Amino acid sequence: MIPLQSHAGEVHLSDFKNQLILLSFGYTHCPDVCPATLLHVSQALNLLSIAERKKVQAIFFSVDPQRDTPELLNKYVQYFHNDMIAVNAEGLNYSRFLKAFNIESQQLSDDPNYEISHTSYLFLLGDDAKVLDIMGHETAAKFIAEAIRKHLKD
Amino acid sequence: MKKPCFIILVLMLSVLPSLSVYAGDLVIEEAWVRMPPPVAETAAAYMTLTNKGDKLIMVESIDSEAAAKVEFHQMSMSNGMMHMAEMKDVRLDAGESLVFKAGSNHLMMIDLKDTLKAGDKVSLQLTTKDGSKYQIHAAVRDMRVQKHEHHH
Repeated sequence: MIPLQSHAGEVHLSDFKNQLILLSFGYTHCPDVCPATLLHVSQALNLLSIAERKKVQAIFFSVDPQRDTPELLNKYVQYFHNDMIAVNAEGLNYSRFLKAFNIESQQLSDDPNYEISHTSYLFLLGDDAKVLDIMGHETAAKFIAEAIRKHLKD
Repeated sequence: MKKPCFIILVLMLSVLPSLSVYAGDLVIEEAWVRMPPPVAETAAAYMTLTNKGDKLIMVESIDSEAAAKVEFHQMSMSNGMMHMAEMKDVRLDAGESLVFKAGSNHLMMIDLKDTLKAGDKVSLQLTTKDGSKYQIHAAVRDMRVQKHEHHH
């Protein structure tokens, strides 16, 4: 499995056995869509019972490994929810991970404050990182929670 | 006779809602800033601009002491991919409104000077090509705060 870097060290999606993974893509310099997506994810987690929440791991993957260090990413997602983790990947691992989820990502300028255009879907993954559900970033917390509950039953 | 009228006028002006500014033909309403995580260097601002006059208004610039740069950004989605582009030419025809809102076109505040906290008021200055200047006061909102439902 593709090695990812979190502030606590290397992780792989396969580390989260017996848990669904709620995977989102974005970057910390994104002012509007990414905070909104993470807000919906965190609200969805809060709609779950404690038992349900233990069975889900929310992961934020940065499409901006140049500026988003694992430490920065951790602080960023902790703002939204304590249970979230954030990761990045570099080089070949980065492109392989994006490819695995059909994520397109494009740096829009050479400005130091460059923006990144990227696929903003939210993925619900089951065993072996199998894609169980794909949701648009604007999906309300209620529907994200429903999708999680539905797949926890299976 | 003139003095009481003047005092009444000043009192009336002082209770105008601080989020809506009418200094010329451009009306700016519902301005707010999405509180970013404290580590973030950018924040999004939102507002509605309306041209209440009968002539074209062209925006020259927008600035804030809270950030190194402020820009208007267009946002569009295609095939699940979001595309952003700076709007270099922001203009409003007579009667036209431009809405900058969450999940859509928005303002980007770049290189924040200080951490923004909920309840802070951010000042922005919008200048139009005819030289008019508009002061905008946008409240910082912590979007994590939910409206409480009462359980008894």
